[in-house]
Amino acid sequence: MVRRAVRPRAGAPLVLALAAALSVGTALAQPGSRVVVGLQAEPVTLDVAQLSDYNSSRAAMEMYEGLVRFAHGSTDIEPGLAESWDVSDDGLVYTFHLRPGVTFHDGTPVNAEAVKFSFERQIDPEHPYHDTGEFPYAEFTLGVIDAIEVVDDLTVRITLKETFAPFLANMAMHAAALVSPTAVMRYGRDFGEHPVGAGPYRFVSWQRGVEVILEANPDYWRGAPQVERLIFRPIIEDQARLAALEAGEIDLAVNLPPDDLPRLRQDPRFTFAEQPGMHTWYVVFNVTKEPFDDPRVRQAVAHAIDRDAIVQAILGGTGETAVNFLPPVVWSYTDDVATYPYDPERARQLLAEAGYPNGFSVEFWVPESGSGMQQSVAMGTVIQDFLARVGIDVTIQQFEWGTYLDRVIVPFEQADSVPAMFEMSWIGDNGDPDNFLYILLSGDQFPPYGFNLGYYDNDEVDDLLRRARTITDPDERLPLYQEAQRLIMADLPVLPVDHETQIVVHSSSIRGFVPHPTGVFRFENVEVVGR
Amino acid sequence: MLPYLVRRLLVMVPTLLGVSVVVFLSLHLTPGDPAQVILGPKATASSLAALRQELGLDQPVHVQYLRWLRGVVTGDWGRSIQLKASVLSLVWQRFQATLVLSAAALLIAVGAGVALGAFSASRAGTLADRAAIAVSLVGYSLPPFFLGIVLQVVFGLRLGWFPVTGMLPPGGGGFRDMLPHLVLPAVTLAAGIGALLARMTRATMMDVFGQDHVRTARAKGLVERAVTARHVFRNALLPIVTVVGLQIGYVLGGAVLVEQVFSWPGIGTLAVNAILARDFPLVQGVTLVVATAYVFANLVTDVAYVLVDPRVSYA
Repeated sequence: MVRRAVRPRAGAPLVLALAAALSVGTALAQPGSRVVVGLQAEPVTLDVAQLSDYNSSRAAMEMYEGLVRFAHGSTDIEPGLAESWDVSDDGLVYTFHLRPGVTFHDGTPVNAEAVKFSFERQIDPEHPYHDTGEFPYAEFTLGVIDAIEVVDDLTVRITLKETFAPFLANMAMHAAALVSPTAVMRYGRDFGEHPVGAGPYRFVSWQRGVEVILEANPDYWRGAPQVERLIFRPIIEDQARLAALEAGEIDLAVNLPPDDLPRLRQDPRFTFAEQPGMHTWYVVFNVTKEPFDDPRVRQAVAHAIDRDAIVQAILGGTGETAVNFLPPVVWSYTDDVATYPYDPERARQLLAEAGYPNGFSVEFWVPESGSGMQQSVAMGTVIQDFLARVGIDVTIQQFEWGTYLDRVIVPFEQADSVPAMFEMSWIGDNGDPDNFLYILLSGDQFPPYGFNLGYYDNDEVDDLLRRARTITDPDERLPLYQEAQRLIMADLPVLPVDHETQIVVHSSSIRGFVPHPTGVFRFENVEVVGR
Repeated sequence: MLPYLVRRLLVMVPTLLGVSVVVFLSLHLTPGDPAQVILGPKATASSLAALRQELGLDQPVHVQYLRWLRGVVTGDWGRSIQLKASVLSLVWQRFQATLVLSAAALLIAVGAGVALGAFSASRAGTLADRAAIAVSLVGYSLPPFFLGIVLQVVFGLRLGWFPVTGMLPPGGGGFRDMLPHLVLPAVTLAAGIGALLARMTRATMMDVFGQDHVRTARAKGLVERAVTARHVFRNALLPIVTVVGLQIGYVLGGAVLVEQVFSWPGIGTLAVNAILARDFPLVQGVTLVVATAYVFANLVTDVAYVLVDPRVSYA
């Protein structure tokens, strides 16, 4: 799944990177080596349980690890602080066996009590340390847990409220990473400024608005990482981040201005690391409202918009045109679904069939910007233009992101206040299809329970998605999800436009960097050469 | 003078109260929910409600305001909703960075602007004068945002003379390490004010040149340099001081943009994030500090009149 731009000269580095990957576990950190990462905004907390944005996650995640984790460059699950686990036949009880002899950075042992503490701190309002933060992902990640039992020092048993297939994938998410109970007790609400985990890097300092500094953990159970220091600096302006990268003030950056990427690709000082994103940018149709209660009208809109042109002209190729609502990197993805190529003639025909030969007028809401929203305004404007060509008169209403979320995530009873058409995006959390299909399109998930924002309600789809999330065998789940995708794309309650490509540009002296679909950065196999 | 100062300081209190009420109200009247911003789009209704209650956002606005006010008076400025840290320490830390930047910018602006203006006035009508006018016009017209990026590319990237971002090199450093980082942002921020001051200085000095006492001074046989320095410049200073005082507000406002471009960890970047995140306590804290600085700067300007112009006195 991982594409790396490799220039002709890059044969040797690739071998070096492989060698680096193989040598992990025995090598010591290269003295004095460091990587400076340019973030888009300043981190707000380094408490793993309180993370909810990319910048904080990128600066914090290397300090932590959970029971299991996502493999390098994919969302496959591999053992983490638990070396193995058993699942009961009914899929309700998970027993994790922890790796012996592992400690947090402050020396506190990683044991069953620490697991219980890390999770209950977030989900149990009665827990003595529940008031040490706000936990935006607690319910989402750990909400299905009914009880956590300490069986012995290295064994912990987790019982679920109901069978939940993506549970193990959730255990690899950031909110399920373990924190040192000693440190939480000591620092309380300020744990986010004194973070202690069991990951490959440990905390050195954090000067707000300036930088976060981490250093290699010599006792990391997989072996100390090669790069001695990681420095994360917020550089808000894309243009300034680009200048800092070119001036050598930072070594690695994301979200550089698309117009400059072709030039950077030609520059031997830089290497591109790319990863098709676990992301979908889409237009939501409020299916409770005329005319979008008619699938033909939704399909007409799809045919009227040249999505390839949007990806090329506006996104500068930093995305992949969506065929399906589910991104290709999420398992169960199929392209055997109804497709909607650009065809204005077909669009007009569908509109006529639906009783709108002369088109109609519609309000289209667009946020100014927002997490995962890419070029929200420019994309909205182009969509408006395409729709005008088939007689649909679109009025754009623009909102600031916070306000926008307030206005479009509303319960079914107030469905009328939600416009007929609006933009949205979703960044996957755990690589499970449930995380896109069930949460965003099942009839059980109207706000405030989930994020089915256009109130799509198809019994057949609901039944498939409900069954699929209670079966633990992936082979059995697969056909259910593929059938659901076919039904959804035929109904088209949402119009997927593109999946954003994660483009990381870094100094060519950095070897072995592979972007991860979840968007966090991993440095444990990275090394710095020739500097 | 002392009673005047005391009176002015007392007047600051209602001014600041007024500012805080307006900001508090405008924040609460704008749509957008801090709880939603903190918990993100993936929050559930129950966690949103719980957080609103925890933050006291479910209370009536006047109760929230009074609670905040009581805190400010007792030294507890609250906790930033988004950054999860004490507002007072966040604001104080960032304000120092902004002060450094603003002070450097003002120094450059006053030094370069007044010098350029005086130079221009004393050579009125010559080619040098016209060139100076052109320079100040360009400086005045360039938006700081654009100028900043141009300076970054030219002096940071192409020539490599100065670092392009940050206040300190990655990994930390002391005051000496800060100086090279200070140059580009300070010049960017200074450009507009410096240009304005240059034009202002030139105009006022030209005015004074035509006055009777200058003719008298020249008739006495004073050399031109002495005429300019003692009789013209001194008399032109009053309006210049006024403009400098007024520009302190502009510096603080301009710092928002310049800090953003240069990733300067000042109060401007803090304020922008706080507003977008509906971080009420932090926005209030920032506003209070900036408003105080502004009011204080005006006071200093008024006091400076006395020093510059013996005719002004505050009984």
